[in-house]
Amino acid sequence: MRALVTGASGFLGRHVVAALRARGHAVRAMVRPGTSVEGLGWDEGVEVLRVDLRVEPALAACFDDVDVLVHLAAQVLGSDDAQFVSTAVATERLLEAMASTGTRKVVLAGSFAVYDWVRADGVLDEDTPLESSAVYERGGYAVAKLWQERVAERLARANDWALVVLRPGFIWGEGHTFIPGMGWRLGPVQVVLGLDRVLPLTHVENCADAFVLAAERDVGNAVLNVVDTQLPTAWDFTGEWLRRGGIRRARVTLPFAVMHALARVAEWVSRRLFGPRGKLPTMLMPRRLAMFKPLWFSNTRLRRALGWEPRLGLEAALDRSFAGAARPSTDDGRRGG
Amino acid sequence: MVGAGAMAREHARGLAEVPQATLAAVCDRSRVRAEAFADEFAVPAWHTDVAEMLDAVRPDVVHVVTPAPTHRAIAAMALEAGAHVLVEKPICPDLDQLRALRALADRTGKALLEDHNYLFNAQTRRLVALRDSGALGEVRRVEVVFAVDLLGAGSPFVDRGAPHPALALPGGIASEFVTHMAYLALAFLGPHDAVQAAWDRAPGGQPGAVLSALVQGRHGHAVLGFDAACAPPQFTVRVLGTRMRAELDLLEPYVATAVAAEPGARYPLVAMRNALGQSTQHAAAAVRGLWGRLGGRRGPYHGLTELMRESYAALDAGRDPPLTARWIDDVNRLVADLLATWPSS
Ligand SMILES: NC(=O)c1ccc[n+]([C@@H]2O[C@H](COP(=O)([O-])OP(=O)(O)OC[C@H]3O[C@@H](n4cnc5c(N)ncnc54)[C@H](OP(=O)(O)O)[C@@H]3O)[C@@H](O)[C@H]2O)c1
Repeated sequence: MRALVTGASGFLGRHVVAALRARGHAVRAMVRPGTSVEGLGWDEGVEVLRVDLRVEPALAACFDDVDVLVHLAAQVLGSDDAQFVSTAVATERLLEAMASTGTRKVVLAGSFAVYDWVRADGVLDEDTPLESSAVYERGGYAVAKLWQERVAERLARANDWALVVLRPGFIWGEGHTFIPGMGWRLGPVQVVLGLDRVLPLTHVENCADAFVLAAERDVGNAVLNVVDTQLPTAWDFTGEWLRRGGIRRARVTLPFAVMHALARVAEWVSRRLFGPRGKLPTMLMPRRLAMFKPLWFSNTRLRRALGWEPRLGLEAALDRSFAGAARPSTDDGRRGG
Repeated sequence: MVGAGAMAREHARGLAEVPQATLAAVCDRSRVRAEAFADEFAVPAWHTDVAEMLDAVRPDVVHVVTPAPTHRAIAAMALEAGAHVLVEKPICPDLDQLRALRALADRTGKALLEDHNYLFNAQTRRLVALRDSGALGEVRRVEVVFAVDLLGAGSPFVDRGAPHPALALPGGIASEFVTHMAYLALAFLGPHDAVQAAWDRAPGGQPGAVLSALVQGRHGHAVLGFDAACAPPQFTVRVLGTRMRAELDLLEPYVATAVAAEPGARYPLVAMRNALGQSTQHAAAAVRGLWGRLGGRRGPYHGLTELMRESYAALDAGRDPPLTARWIDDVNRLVADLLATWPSS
């Protein structure tokens, strides 16, 4: 099998390329013109293609002899507009080009950001409703990922392709151990929202396996959430993150209900003072805060559809991710998830 | 609305507050962008082809909010289709093209407007009112400084994958901002006679990251300073008159003034009164700014809403819009003279 992998040099991409190679597949790896691929350990089975999806005029040529597109490229930081263009518009350009080629299968990296977390109840799974017009309150990443999926669906339907959308929770691994879902830093304190709230994590190697299986298996059209089986609580994970990362910061928990009540009060005050135009700080916006609400997450469908099992359990994943020297300062950034 | 990017969203937000306007359609080359924009702003129709949209929608006004190199052609199509047009700055790359567009607007009897949004910001208005009241005395000197970090990670000016179109134009990065500086200077100086300027690249090599210009007017001078690598951001207009000095920052809602001593007054007391007065003006503005943000007021772009409000009201009543053809041409004459000093031209 030959796979075209976009975002191949990204965090998830490099592991997907490695996993595809490990299973003997040929890889055409799309990376942007300015991106270095040194140190990724790519062998001669990886053909590097230098393309920026926003501007490349000849995208159809990328699909020569490609059996499956594994589309991971997306912009996860930057302005709302920049994220939209490199995520949704880029996907539209790529898939419109694919329509003139012989490639007929797409595996797309979706995201938990597309779900309506306000309406999620008890368990967040593939049946949870997606965001609709309220998504614009959620910020650029959620908007871009939602429209990216919509574009992929539209073009897959129009061209009768097989489309597998894998929606990972928070992907983590070496160099990416800070999970935005843990909570916030307030000066010397790391605030964890909720004591027993679990984090929908997937270790990047487990997640990459799911992408390889989705590329290999013939499952028709499917939408599958990707989370590991052993999920830590935000409290425990924050503890590991601080301890193993060598970060000296107190860990404090704030019950979600308290934060939720606070947000409600802030919303009420804002309405009273400013009417519907009032703006709240991000962490008090109900729709953003909902990402922290206590839910369960299931990987049943993924395991059934693809026969996937996480190769790394939680303990092994922790050992693996914190194996390198602790470099907390480079790994405390804010990322989309 | 032609274009569905970040600036088009500012236009859409402003239009929502214009009673005469209904956003009838949006057009973008990318279907998903047009569709998402229509969804976000509840626009009833989206298109991917300008001609097709003009034909289907027959709009009264067209907003051209696309990358600068495409402005002229789209504005011409809109005028031909019988619409008034509001074009983002810079309206045209040179004066000849502007003249051709102006001739077309005259022929069709439609307005050809360029977005001079900062002219309509509350601070600018207060400064203009001070000038008009005579409180400034005679304006001797205007200083416009736009110094903002435009080269940080994620900036379109450092994006190697898809280089910003301005980087290939005379004026480089500054070509995106000189129009603002030009109209702010002319608002207090009046039409200019001559221009001198020096340009420089950014430390990273981006062209047009630094501009220092001296603009000679009939009764005074303007000094324009642009720098694309400064922080904290500053976008100030300082007007020095014969009786008062006043400064505003378009990114912060303050106007700070200092007055000259009356004949016979004691200088130290006047200096102290000025210092205390300015501190109070700054502090009050900081509070107003935070309050405004919590209240959902639209920050530095609120002038765009005012510009549209007044322009639509005038067009609707058959009056001339506040930005006259003469004014827009004067501003573009200054922009053209500034760009004529670009070293590679
Ligand atoms: N990280 C998470 O927790 C998480 C969770 C759920 C879903 N996801 C999704 O998983 C995918 C990979 O995420 P990641 O965490 O690996 O992010 P990442 O490290 O930022 O990788 C994104 C990749 O996309 C490429 N890219 C961006 N804009 C492009 C353009 N205009 N043209 C071509 N390539 C472009 C980047 O190329 P360069 O390297 O050349 O810049 C980069 O390799 C994304 O679709 C993301 O939305 C991630």
